[in-house]
Amino acid sequence: MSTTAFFVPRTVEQAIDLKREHGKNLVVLGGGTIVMGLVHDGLLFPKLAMSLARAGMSDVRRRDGWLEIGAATPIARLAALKGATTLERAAGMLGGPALRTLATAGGNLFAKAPYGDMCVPLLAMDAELEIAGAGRRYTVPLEQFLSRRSLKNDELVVSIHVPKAQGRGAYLKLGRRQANTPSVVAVAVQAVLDTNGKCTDVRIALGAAAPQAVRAKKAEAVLIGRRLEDATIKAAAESAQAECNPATDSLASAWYRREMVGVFVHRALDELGRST
Amino acid sequence: MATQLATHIVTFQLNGRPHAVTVAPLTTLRTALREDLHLHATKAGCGQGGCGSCTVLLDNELVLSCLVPVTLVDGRSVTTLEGIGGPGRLHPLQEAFHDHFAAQCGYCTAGMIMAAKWLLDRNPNPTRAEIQMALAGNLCRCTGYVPIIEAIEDAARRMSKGVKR
Amino acid sequence: MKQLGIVGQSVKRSDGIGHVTGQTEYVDDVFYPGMLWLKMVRSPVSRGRIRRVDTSRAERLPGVTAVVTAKDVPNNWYTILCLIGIEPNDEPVLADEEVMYEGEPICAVVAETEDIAREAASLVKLEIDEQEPVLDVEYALTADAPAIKKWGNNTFMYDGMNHRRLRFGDVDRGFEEADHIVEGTYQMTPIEHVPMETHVCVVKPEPNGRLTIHSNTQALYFTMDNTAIILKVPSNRLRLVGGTVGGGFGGKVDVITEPVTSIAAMKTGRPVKWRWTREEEFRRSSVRGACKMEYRDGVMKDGRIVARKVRSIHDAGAYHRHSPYGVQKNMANLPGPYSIPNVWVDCYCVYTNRQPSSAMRGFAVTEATFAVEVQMDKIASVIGMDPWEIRMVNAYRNGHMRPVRKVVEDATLLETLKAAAQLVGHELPARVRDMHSDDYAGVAEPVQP
Ligand SMILES: Cc1cc2nc3c(=O)[nH]c(=O)nc-3n(C[C@H](O)[C@H](O)[C@H](O)COP(=O)(O)OP(=O)(O)OC[C@H]3O[C@@H](n4cnc5c(N)ncnc54)[C@H](O)[C@@H]3O)c2cc1C
Ligand code: FES
Ligand code: FES
Repeated sequence: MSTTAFFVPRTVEQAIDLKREHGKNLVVLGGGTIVMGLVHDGLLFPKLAMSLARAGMSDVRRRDGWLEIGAATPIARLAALKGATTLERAAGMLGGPALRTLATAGGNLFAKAPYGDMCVPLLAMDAELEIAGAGRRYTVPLEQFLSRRSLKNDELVVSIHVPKAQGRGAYLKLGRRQANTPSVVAVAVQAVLDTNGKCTDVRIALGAAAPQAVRAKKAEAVLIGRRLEDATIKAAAESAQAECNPATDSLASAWYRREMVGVFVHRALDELGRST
Repeated sequence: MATQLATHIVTFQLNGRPHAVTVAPLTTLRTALREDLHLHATKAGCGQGGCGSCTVLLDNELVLSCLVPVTLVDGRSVTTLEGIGGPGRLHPLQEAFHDHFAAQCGYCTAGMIMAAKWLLDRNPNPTRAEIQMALAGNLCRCTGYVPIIEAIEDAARRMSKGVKR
Repeated sequence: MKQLGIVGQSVKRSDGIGHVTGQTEYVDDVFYPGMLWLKMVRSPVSRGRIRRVDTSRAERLPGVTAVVTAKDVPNNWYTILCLIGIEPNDEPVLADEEVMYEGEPICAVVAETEDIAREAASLVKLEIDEQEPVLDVEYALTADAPAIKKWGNNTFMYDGMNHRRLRFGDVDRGFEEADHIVEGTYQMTPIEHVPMETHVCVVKPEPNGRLTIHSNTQALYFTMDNTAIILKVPSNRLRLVGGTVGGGFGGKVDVITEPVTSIAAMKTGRPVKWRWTREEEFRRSSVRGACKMEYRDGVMKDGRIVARKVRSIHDAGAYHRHSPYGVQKNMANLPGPYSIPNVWVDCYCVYTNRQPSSAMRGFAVTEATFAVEVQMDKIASVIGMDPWEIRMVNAYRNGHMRPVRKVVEDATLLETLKAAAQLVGHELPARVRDMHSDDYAGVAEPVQP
């Protein structure tokens, strides 16, 4: 076979060492749910491969109110979390049960649209990524990472840091069937309302509405300082619809996706407004 | 660190008994089961994670065996359709699938029954909606899902009666 | 009533225990010691002329045992219906001069493992001069479109005509008489069968010179005949082993894996397996062809259809396969199960540079039925009539001549509709309530033999 070695490092350091040594020749598997499909379709011929499954990167920890999700944490683990609601919801709606056992949170950061569902609530919660390379570790905001999605040859995403959720959250996903389906669109909203019901802080994230998960910042601006009333919600939904940049694929046309961004941002904000 | 160069040996529990396979790097669990150990119940419908016909249990969790490098199964335990029952000693799920005509061409059946087993192991008395969600990763092109869901409901009933007895 | 042994009883499937225990053997479950794996190199473009196929890098890959190109195919024509007179030959088993659709097979590589075969396939270098593809049926019928067929146009030729026609009565007179003209256009996209088991074939050369061919074809003898024709061997050299098919739905009547796998087995002297990927199954296997059907009906106030004119265009994709025959079936069924005195049908079997189409459940009859029945509903709503009534008024009776010049026997449409109405609790209008298939009140008398 064309693959000459398969590494299963036992620590992050070993994994980074291998990355440093082999660089681009080393194909990294989180859960392999994307990589293995490419291999089977003859689109990727890894000479060397490495799994992160046993590198001690599969834990979820709470620290100072933050949630630290190891990059190799299976989606099924996130679906079973208690408390970080939109993350759980998104995880529970990703793929089917057998896929969730394998697919990882880290791999999802690299999934091309229409995949990448986990990035949607993570963006809305303003998550950061911890990246490690030979002799260095640093964090970057998820949004910044997603705009390029490239790492240096010796780098790996080690974990995802999620600040304590502020205010209320909503997550909605539209697919072509009720479960195990890529997103036509996915929408996550995290919003803080003051005692008068006015929105003081809000992040709206869209999935499958651009090559990677994106914020709908103009829509957010519409909401700041306003109450979640019908006219405001409508204006925000229209704004999100106007600022997104969806693609046509075998699931849905760009036109339909754009329409659905409007509908689903509207529904998500409705849901938030009602969840007083 | 386990560095698996060229061909290497992987040992694991398969249907309750120890097995070993000698495989090339990145060989999948599905290939090891079908082509090395010649347990053919587990099917190869896509190799993409998309059809569910290769679904098996790995440490009692549901996985798509076409996506799992068998190297990662080392030291773990795998259950396939062959492991839950056979002709003359059918598992209640197998009985119910047969009785409800829940297998037409039979290609999806192994995956369907394994997903159902995973569900019933956790939730012996599932609702119809829970059954549907458990089968979300398994496609069937011929039977239609209704007889399959009815077979699982019936198997759950048969199994809970069995417990009382 | 007498209790019967089988009729009226629920009988367990004879293969059921095998299915639920995973013991049923499918072709992909067949393994032989020393078995090789085959992968296909396919055209990346929809239409083009092949300049060069360079297999040298693939052949140098360790573990590669053979490459099969058009030169290795004894009779490089795949014309599955040649046995019932469909001609001329148009589809090569492996393309040599030109490619006519994206995914057309060009050359096969055979290797010790599936992974090596896959990698070897990726190393074959193709030089193809791309040509403008014809991707739309209406465009294909215009004079502007390049003729993609050697015979100079883009349609199958039925007895010298570029379409199959049906003529019955005088439609123009029918339209003149009619109180209403109702028109409708109905269109279907291509549909893939998506069997859970992809196409698989295993061929083992036997010491006695025969080939044992394990095939998941739906049509074993079809496969034997066509493989023998392509290999130029008598069919007694081929031992076909069929068996349980993991879903076919018409998608496994093409003889699309056996000839090349056989050639590979003959060339290497070893057993060879060719298993299609899911992508190949989706994008490279025959589909139900796209079809567009335009109806123009002349209808009387009382619901009788007195004239029906239909133009039907079928997208065969790049090659015949079963389409010329399917289009004929489409033609026969476009008038529907109705007695219409004046019928005119033109059916075009059009070639485009798309994935070839072939059989699928009902085989162009389904398309016709879809169109006819939506049109019947449309007529009902235009003239303001109960949709059951419009069907029953027009339903053919025993002894009626169908436009294809076949006298109706064993008509059951009225009886079926009455039973269905009862089941769903629809009260039929008094006028049709007592109609039956041997009753000619208000309709034409049966033809006298
Ligand atoms: C049937 C099916 C259904 C699916 N449904 C969904 C769905 O509903 N929503 C969705 O979003 N996705 C879906 N996916 C896509 C995919 O399974 C998920 O996106 C999954 O989260 C990817 O994770 P993985 O670990 O399996 O990725 P892998 O295949 O392991 O990796 C993907 C890419 O990320 C890189 N990578 C992985 N981890 C790291 C790391 N820590 N550091 C650096 N690089 C890394 C890999 O090198 C590779 O390039 C589906 C896939 C299938 C087959
Ligand atoms: S073969 Fe594994 S999901 Fe289809
Ligand atoms: S029985 Fe044929 S796919 Fe399910």
